[in-house]
Amino acid sequence: MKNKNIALLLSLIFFSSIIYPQLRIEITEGTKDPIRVAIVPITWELDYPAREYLHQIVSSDLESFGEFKALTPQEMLSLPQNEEEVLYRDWKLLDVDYLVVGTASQGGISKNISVNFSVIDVMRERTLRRSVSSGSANHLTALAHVMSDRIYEEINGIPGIYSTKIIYVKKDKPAKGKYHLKLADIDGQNDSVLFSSSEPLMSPDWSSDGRKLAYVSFEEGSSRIYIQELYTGSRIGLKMEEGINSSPDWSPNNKYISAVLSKDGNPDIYMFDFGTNSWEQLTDHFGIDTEPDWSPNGKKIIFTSNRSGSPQIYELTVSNRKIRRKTFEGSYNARARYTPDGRSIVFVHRREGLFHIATQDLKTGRIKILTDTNLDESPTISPNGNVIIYATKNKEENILAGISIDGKTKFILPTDLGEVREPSWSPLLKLSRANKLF
Amino acid sequence: MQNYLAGLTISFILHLGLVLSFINFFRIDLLYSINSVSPMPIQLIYEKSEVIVKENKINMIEGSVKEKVVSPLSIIEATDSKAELASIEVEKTLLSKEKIEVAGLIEEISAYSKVIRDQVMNNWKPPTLFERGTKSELIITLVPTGEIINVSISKESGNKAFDRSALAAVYKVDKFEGLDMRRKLFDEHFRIFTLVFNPKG
Repeated sequence: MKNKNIALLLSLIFFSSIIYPQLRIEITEGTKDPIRVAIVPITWELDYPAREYLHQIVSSDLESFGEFKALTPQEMLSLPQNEEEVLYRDWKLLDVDYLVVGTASQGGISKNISVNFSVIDVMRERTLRRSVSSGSANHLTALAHVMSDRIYEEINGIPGIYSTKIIYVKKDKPAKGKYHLKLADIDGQNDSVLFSSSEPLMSPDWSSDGRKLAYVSFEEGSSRIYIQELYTGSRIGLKMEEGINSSPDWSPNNKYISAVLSKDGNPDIYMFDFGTNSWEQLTDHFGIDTEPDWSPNGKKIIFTSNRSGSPQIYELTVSNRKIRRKTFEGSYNARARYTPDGRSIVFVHRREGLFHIATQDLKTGRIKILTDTNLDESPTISPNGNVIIYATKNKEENILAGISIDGKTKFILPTDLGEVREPSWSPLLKLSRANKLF
Repeated sequence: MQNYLAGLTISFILHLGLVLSFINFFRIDLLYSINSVSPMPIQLIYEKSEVIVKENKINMIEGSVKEKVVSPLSIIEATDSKAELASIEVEKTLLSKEKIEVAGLIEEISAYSKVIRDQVMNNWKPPTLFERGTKSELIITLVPTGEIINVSISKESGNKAFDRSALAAVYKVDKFEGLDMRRKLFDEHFRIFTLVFNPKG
């Protein structure tokens, strides 16, 4: 018997290796259809607040960048309250790829609302993740955004960004209006003021731990770079030099700030060292060097320079101060920012007299223009590398708009009246302390 | 007594004013300062997650591969090993004869491969972002009707969502249409094959 089995095994090997050379079929592209998700209305074991709330926010979050299509409850054939009640046939019939079911309850000393939810793979009929998110009843929107983040990450494999924030500069309408640094959700909602001044404010930039903000303020009459602790509101001014002090950008380890100073006559890139509390010069050229941005690994800095006659983007290696020109197409390329993987840059590119947001692959040099509007400026990239928010003009009004990195989905951020400029995207904010409550 | 009450009221108002100004109720700071700072509002959300499917370790054998894959062998199973080896020899000679028809065979295989590829592509929704060169390989087992009876990851891409999207595509296809072919062709090439998910550009 044993012999027979061995012989069988042997012949199996023969058959598979000699007689049947295995066929390989290459799949080189997929459909462009959005992934279909169904967020079943969360079963609400509470009287307050309205139960419609959470699944609507989660659905519209997931739809906002075009990657997902969310079913409305009217389109659903059943409304399962938990995993056991899911009839897979219903959802396959509706061509749903992923399903989310959950229950909200209130309890504990803190009276927090907890949502237990499951992400279910319909095709394979299995639960991928069970999560509990809980927070104050007053912050249900924030709770929903965190749920969206988890669902997005589970399905798409990269972090969700729905609970990240943006900070932007807003100037009040009248000619002598005040300047504000405003904080908002990435859909423009839930905004608050972090700092106001009657003098100009510019170039906000989040530290990579999400706790500090660097920006330029003219409150002392000339430009100076300030650091503001976001959670306490305390602020300090960096050592001010004569002339321009502008474009602060945090290094990834938050130990340095690169910025533009003109203390030796013309603007060059400098680096502020928090350890020694002093500035160190990085570039030295008679042209204008400006708008530095640190690479995600901290080894390089890209900046805009007109040293060749027109504004172009250059890359500086911090350790040996070597500089290489990166853009060659067109006569205006500026305000570059690295994508989070460090492989590409997003920048302002002028073509036929119009200013667009474009991306360039740093290895191949291939440029892709994303926006088709004019006067687009100050792009900032989501921490998962998937979306860009930028400032643009709509009927003479400065507004914020967004576009997915593939250029397919566009949106406008509703912000209140006034001039809105220079958005800066937060890193992934780790406000939540996992397992603390459990 | 009346004087006392009046004095009490006045003293209360004065003290209230003092306390209020101490807690900066009147925002006097705004009179001499043009700047105002506010801390960022904090919305604490607590979380606990349980990831159920560890995609990297998964091997989705749902039918028993060995039984179904090599069904011709089930005939041999009853005989002894000498007979088996003999039958392999027979198969080998048959194979060499087939070499003559090899050109026609390749054409046939590639036509059916295209049928399969198109159906997988139409059902594949790759994740939004993945590194260039991401590649995963799945081994697919079919029955002659075109129905998929087993799928397993033979080579992971390192990107969980990418692997899952590939698996989902195969699950979505469920049954390949248009694979009406000679049984021999099916057994030799399409009963078990590899799908390579390898997007270009």
